[in-house]
Amino acid sequence: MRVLIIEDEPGIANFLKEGLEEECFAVDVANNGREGLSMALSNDYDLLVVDWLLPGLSGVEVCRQFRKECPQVPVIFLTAKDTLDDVIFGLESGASDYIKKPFAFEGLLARIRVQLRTSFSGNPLLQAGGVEMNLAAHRVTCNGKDVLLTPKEFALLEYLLRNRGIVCTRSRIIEHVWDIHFDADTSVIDVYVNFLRKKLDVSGCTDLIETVRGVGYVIREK
Amino acid sequence: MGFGREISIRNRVSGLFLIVTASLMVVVFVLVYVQVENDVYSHIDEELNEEAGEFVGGLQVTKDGVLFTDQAEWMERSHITVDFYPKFVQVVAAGSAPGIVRKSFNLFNDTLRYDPSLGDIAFYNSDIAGASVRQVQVPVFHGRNTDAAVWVLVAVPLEESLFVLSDLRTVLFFSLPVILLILFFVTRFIAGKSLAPLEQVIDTAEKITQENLDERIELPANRDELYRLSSTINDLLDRLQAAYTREKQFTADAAHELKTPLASLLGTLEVLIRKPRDPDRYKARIELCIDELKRMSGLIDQLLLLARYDSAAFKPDIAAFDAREAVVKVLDRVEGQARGKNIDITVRNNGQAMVQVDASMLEIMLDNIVSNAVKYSERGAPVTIALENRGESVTCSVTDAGPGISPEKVDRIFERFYRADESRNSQTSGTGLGLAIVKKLADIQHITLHLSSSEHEGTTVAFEIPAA
Repeated sequence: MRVLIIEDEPGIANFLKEGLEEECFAVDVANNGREGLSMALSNDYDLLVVDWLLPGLSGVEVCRQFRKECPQVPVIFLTAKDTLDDVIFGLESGASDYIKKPFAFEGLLARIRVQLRTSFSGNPLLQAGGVEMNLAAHRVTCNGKDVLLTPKEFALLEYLLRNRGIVCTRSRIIEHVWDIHFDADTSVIDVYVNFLRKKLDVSGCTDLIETVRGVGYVIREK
Repeated sequence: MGFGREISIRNRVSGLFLIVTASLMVVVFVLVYVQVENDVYSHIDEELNEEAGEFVGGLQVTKDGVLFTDQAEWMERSHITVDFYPKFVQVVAAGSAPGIVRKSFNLFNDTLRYDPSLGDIAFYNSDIAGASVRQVQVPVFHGRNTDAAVWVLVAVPLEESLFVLSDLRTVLFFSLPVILLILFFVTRFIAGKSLAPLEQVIDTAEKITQENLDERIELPANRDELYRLSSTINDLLDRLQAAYTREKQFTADAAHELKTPLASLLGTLEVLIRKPRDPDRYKARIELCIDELKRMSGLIDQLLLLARYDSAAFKPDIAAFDAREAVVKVLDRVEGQARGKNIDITVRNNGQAMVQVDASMLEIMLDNIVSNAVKYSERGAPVTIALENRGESVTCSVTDAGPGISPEKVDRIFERFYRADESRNSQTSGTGLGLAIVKKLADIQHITLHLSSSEHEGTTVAFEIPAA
């Protein structure tokens, strides 16, 4: 899952990026409204975390303009404003959710998961073949046995599972699993897919990820 | 006096009006009555006088008695009958043989009253057998005697005149309360009518709370007292609203500025302890947190400073002080910061610079301005502090060759939490309160503050301080 953080305060942006990356998100950071909006519109993000008070273009304005182009992608507001009027105003400008500063990181994480769950299947459990992925518990099992995955492997599997039945091109996988700083060398995907296949084979879930030659990968619904 | 405090203006105005009118009317009515009464009596008395004169002229007093020389006078109709303007006449002898000498026919068996105690000609009210009359009593002398020999009495009926006067009394007496009552209701109505817009003003003003401070009282069409009252209240509301908005903005900004480093601290530490890390990572993150804490602590200091200076009880300790001392102290403090950016601070002054200030406040102000100049200057750019004694005042100016401030931002630069560089915390640290504190301190000490700036050329901040 790829997330864009638009936050001018480096202290907050840094820990968000660090914490979310550890949770297998691909994270990009923009430190002002204008840059954030252009990044949000030119890349394919799964979720936006936007600070309200931003230099250049306010978070509310970013949200409004972004909503016109991408009405589906969830946007979570971060703000120190805390009156009821502010909450209403924020949500009416198109935000999907709202979290007040200072906030607990775990709380934000849970909200991000809720938003992603609603924007995708609505189910915290992703399943295909014998593989079951519990997003909330951050756990993958194969025929009931735990499979230990690295964050990137987890993110890759999550993306394929969320899009099961749909062929994911290499470039789309790169867009959603790796952040903007990633050098677009798509062969690294093949390497990670191989790692994943090996770990799943060991647990008895063979042939889950199919290769679509010259295009990308897919997990078929059976 | 507690009485009357609860009475509405409307009733008070009509009440006061009523009392004044009533007093005036009583005075006028009494004057009218007295005038009419005088007129009536003087008219009658004149007639009596004339008649008495004729009779006095028509008799002669001899030592043997009274001799009537004009008998025809006694035979006039008015002296014989009572039905047509009767005039009653009676001649009374005084002295040794008192008694009625002669009386007119129309008196029949009655006589006119005679008051021997009256010395001279006299007019008075009397009666003939119970009927009111006005009569005159005229003495007639014998020779050079000073005592009257006979009295000539003439009387006319007063009944009709008294009736007119009593009628007038009745009319005046009863018309007074009726007129006053009508007047009271009329004034009450008019007062009520002219005060009605006031009720509207009260209604609107009552409805305004902090939730709808933007509502205003509708101004009446006439530019009268009510218009002035309404526009005065509206002006007051404008000022209140501005102050309230400023206060709200300030609170929101202060909350934002405090919560942001707090959020950063909390988040950084939470993420840090989610799993074991290597010691370098811990060290780097903790240092980050210390920086945030320092920032917060600085902000809290400045907020407390502002709160203290904002309080009405706060009084600056103004005394004669050499501004050069403050410059030296501030130079000491910013030296490190300046050297780090290779900035050379030049000080110029034309002699003594004794000023009337609170020394510690002047230092805070200079410190803020000079460190701002250093902070926003490019590496190696010059900063100048100039002290100029102008007799009445000393001008202290700080000039930098920094990026400058655009004209539309200059006006807002002294606002609390306003920061000209929009990228807030990215490169330059600061709270956005420094210049607000400078402004506050300048206001407290009657120092005039000037800021002139042109983009890409630099900024000059000048204080005009009263000389000691």
